[in-house]
Amino acid sequence: MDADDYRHKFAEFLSTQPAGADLTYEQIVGAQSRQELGISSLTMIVLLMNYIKKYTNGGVAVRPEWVPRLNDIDGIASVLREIDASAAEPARS
Amino acid sequence: MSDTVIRGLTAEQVESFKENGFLGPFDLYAEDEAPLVWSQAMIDMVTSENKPHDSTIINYDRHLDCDTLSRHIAQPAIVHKLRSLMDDDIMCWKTHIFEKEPGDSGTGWHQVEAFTVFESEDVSYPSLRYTEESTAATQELTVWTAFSSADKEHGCLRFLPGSHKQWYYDETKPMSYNVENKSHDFFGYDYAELKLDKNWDPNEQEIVDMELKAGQFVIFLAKCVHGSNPNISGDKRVGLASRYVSPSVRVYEHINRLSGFGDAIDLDYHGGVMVSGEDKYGYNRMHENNLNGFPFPKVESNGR
Repeated sequence: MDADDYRHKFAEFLSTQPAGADLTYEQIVGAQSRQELGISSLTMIVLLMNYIKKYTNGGVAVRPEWVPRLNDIDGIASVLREIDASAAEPARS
Repeated sequence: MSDTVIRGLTAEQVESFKENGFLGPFDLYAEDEAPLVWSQAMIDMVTSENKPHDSTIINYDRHLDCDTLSRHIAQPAIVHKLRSLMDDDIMCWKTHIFEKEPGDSGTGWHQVEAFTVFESEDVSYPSLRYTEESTAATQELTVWTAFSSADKEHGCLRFLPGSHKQWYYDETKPMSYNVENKSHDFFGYDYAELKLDKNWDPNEQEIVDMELKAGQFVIFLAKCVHGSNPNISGDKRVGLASRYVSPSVRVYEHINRLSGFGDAIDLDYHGGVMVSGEDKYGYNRMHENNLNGFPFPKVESNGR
């Protein structure tokens, strides 16, 4: 999946969340920043945790270095990609 | 010379503080580390199972449930300097997050000491009641730590040197709240309403802009007239004020609830945290662990 795919994946995910209830799919895909979508920085972390729960069953911890990247949609898409990649890594024995 | 002495204040710095009412900047976190510390604090805020209150407007006291901030308030680099100014027994009684978004205005000049809280238009109580005189330089201190760049462009703090020596404002009087009014530049209030001399304004030539890099802090007396510049940068400015008093000070003695900024919180959760020394008075409820069970660190008298 490329960056654009992750932008669409974020839009699909956000539309299932209370924070995205008043947003259309097109609004989310077309946005540049989370502020445009009316999402606060703390709510964005909540969304990230919900994403992790949904797609990795809570198997990935939120990393501090991700937080500054959650201000724009491209950054969010890149973090989601990293989360999926982390979840796909085989467990180390 | 021991580490303790090195990390405390020199006699000259103590004198400078007594004269000016503020001192800094001091290094705490590395410049690239500070934003990550704040990011972890934000994660703590979200994952906390026992928040002190539910308000997102009144940004007080998250050191009581966020492990990162529980550690921050007792950082030895901070506590050693506080000891040089207020003896060994030091209690953190409050923290306050100060975020300034790009384009946000500066904060108007103000000075406080008792942190008066209004129950109604006519009834007010001091948050702090000082019960004894001290031979130390002070019994109350604020440490303001920058977690992002806080230079002039980003809206740094400003001080009027020496202004702690007299009152320019009457903090016991109520103020009107109006977020739409531009003269209400003190978080929606107009602190200028409290001026003792309506014609007085800080002398522009004397004002000191306290520019901080991310990870640096400044120590000041809340009674020293201070404010902040507008944020004309494209980045958010993030700071945390942690406030300390001697445990001989009674905190929120007659106050059960705080109102302001269009919201209110109950103080059931509140308690002091000893970051150094002992509480020999028993005046205040104390927390040994934060609300999620994390033990508060304390700087011992051997400096560790």
